[in-house]
Amino acid sequence: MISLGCANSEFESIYNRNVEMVYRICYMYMKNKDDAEDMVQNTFIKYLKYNPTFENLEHEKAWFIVTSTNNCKNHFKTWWHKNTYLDNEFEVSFKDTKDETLNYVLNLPNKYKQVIYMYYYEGYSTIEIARLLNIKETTIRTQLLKGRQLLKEKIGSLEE
Amino acid sequence: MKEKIYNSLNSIIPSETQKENMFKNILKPKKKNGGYIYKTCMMFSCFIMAFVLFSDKIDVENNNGVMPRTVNYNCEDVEEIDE
Repeated sequence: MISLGCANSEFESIYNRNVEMVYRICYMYMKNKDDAEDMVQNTFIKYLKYNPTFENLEHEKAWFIVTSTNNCKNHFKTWWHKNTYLDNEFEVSFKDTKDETLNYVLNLPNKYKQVIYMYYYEGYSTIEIARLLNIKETTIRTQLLKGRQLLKEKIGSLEE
Repeated sequence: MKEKIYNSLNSIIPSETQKENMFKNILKPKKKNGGYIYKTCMMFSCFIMAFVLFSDKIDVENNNGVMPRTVNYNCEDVEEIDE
């Protein structure tokens, strides 16, 4: 746990509660440690800037999931990254990880990653994901199905 | 499959030092002059480059494709010889 003075105690607790989750999401999109760290910082700076009030912990968690995802997506919208980053279609193995499944997840197109993460890791239902992301439930189901199919092709015939 | 995905995603964890560094960087005040100075220098160097590149252009069309002579070879005193 991190402690840096009493004035930031509330922020500290929010940071400690969410940093791992935010880092995980940012890493999924950025695919390397350094860029993921930058995105985590940007997400928490956004929190400090807008200072949103949360109804409960679930609301807080959802805000951080959506904000960190949008941050990462915005990062790839810039002209520089559109022209210099590798396309999602190319398969790249990442230095930071030796886990093959993680490599396959990281190699998924960005639009499927978020749904896969929220469904398989955070345990949200498709209805909840649709409500959080403000997208139709049918779209979420389609994205989940396609993402799952892509993973199945890579991982092989595994149990559902 | 569900377990595999969960476990692989669960392996993405920042270290304690990473967490501390990120936390410190979030609370660190940002220097706002850096960007301004950088942009001003870039603008200035672009103006200089543009001036150097475009100020010395030769108007080829007005000289029928022949470059105008800018060097004086002191040929005024050369006598013409009638053959």
